[in-house]
Amino acid sequence: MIIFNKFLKHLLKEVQKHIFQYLLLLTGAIFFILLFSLFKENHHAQFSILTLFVIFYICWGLIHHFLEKTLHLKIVIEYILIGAIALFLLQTLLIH
Amino acid sequence: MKKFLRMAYHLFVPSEQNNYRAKTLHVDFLTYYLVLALFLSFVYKAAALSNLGSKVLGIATNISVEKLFQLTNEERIKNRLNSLTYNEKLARAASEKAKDMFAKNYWAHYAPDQTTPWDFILSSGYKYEYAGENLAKDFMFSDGVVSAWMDSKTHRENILRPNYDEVGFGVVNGVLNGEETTLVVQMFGKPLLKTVATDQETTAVNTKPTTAPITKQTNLIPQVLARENTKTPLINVKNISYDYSLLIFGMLVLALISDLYFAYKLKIVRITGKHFAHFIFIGFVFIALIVLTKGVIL
Repeated sequence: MIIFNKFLKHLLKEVQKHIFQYLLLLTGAIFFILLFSLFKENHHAQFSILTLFVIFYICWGLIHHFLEKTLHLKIVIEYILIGAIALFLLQTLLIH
Repeated sequence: MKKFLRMAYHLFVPSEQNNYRAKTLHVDFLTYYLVLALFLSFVYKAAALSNLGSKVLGIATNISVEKLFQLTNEERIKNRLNSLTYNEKLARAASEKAKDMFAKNYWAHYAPDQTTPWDFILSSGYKYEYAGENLAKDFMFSDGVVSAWMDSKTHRENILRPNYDEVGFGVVNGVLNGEETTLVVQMFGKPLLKTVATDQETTAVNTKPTTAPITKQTNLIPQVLARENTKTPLINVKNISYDYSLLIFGMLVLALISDLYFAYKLKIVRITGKHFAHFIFIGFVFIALIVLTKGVIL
């Protein structure tokens, strides 16, 4: 339990260190879900909104690591892969 | 068992064997997920193209008439009302209404040519004293449909109207506004007593749906397809896609939590993507996935 509390504090510290950047990501995510729900009847619009969110998330990752001076090819690939997985999984359910 | 644990450890816990990062988060593993997602997307498109008439591969929802009927009656019983009996004529009227929406490409209580829901009921041979209609589209599960209706004041009133004795459902798949969808039509009725049946048209009451009709006529597309959702294909690609998406997101979240926790516990210093950012991203995509299972009602 103690180690778990320490772990949470460690996480919080990381967020506090980059509070503005995480708030930006969270705001983008909230906007994404609001727009996604708003265009419930238009799957093509939903797919466009999802694509924009994926691009935003990848850009966020690249800028964040660039500012932190930890930008490596492996990290770029990681963000692109996670974004692409989400995009193609939801695309299957959206566009048909 | 020992082998399985060792495997799970390798997949989810950072150690020397996996270069101090959970194997499920390695680039090669993420690529496997992506390839599978792409494969599924390809199969889905193939299924959509050859969907009509296919008994093996196809796209269908988990919406069944039996489940809708059961859930509707459960709601009525919960509210101390009589349970409804299933009426084949009302079911036929509901199916015809759904097919008409696909054929004329509209999503409304009233057709663009002013055909009313009551026209469908009457043409099915059902003479009513009271009648009502609820509509739903784009849902994936039966309970989602009924709970959305129960959350809407007007639809709820329709389900819980004491005047009704019978109900019928139409669940039809087809292409509406260029998109493959499932339409659910619920029609309620109270049969007119035989003694006054001859004068049915003039004595019919409550001939307006409780939900105000909203006409949303859009561009007519040349190819309009509709089929009743009575038989689900052997391999339902929509279900597989949904389950696979849940599995992948669940696995990624689990791997991220485990990797982050053990990396902290074992004091491993490494340069990777930000787990917290991945959590936010995956979490919101997961919410979007849930939103997708909820359709719209009218």
